[in-house]
Amino acid sequence: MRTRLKELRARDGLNQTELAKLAKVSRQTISLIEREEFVPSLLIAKRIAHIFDETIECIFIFDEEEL
Amino acid sequence: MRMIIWTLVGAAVGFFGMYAALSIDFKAGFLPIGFELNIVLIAITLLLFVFIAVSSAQMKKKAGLTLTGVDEDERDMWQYKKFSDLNLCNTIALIVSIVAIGVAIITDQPAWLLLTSGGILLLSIVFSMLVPGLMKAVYPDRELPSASEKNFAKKLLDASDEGERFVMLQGYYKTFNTMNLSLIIALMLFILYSVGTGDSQLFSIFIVGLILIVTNAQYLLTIRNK
Repeated sequence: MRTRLKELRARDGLNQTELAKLAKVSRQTISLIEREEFVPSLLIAKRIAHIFDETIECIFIFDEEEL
Repeated sequence: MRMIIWTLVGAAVGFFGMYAALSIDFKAGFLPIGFELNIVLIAITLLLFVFIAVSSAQMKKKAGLTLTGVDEDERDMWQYKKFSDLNLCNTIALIVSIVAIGVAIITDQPAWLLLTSGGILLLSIVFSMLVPGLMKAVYPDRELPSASEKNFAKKLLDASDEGERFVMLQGYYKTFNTMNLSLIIALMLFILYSVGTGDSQLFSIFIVGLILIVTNAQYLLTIRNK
């Protein structure tokens, strides 16, 4: 899974700590997702999508063989 | 076929290793160096205390700063790593101080050294109660349990989010495997030591065996009952 989290954070001028507070998770979790080491739950993905006003699919991009 | 060859090689190495160990007359007595060993252990614990105290002060000072942007993230990263280092030092200090008092008692050291070792152990216990409280200073916005609360470890796990639990799971799983292997090696070494020196280590062998059975049963029952 690839993620556009870093790019969207830069777009909205948010640092990891601020995004973490908005998504009600720790900064470590945001960092893990950004480094593509951890796939978040649907709930957290939905919260992040809501913060950036994007769809989940637009932020978290899966390869065809992963689906 | 490959597995059979490795098993035979393992058996041969084990046989000749044990044979060699039995033929060597070795003694690993701590009695003559008990005093020096105790002093070294106390010194290590004191150094760890200094590190814990200095790091705690640094963490509290940094937590009070108002930062933004990348600096805020870097501060959080620094604090996270520092807190992990602190926890590790605290655990090592506690273990070393228990070993120190054990050495003092077993090797019959002077009363002042025994009292110092006891004091160091008490301090280690106090530090291990204070260090978790630092989390509240680092993360004032989070609802974290107090170190004095009942079932602190479970409440802390409940307060962690899924990313933190993912990291913890990786750590715990590695630790569990390392612990299993280390304890089995420890059992072998106890047997070897008992046979080589004639000093029975049966009590330790039973205790380590019991720990292995209990921890593995606990892990497997947790998985089985889900």
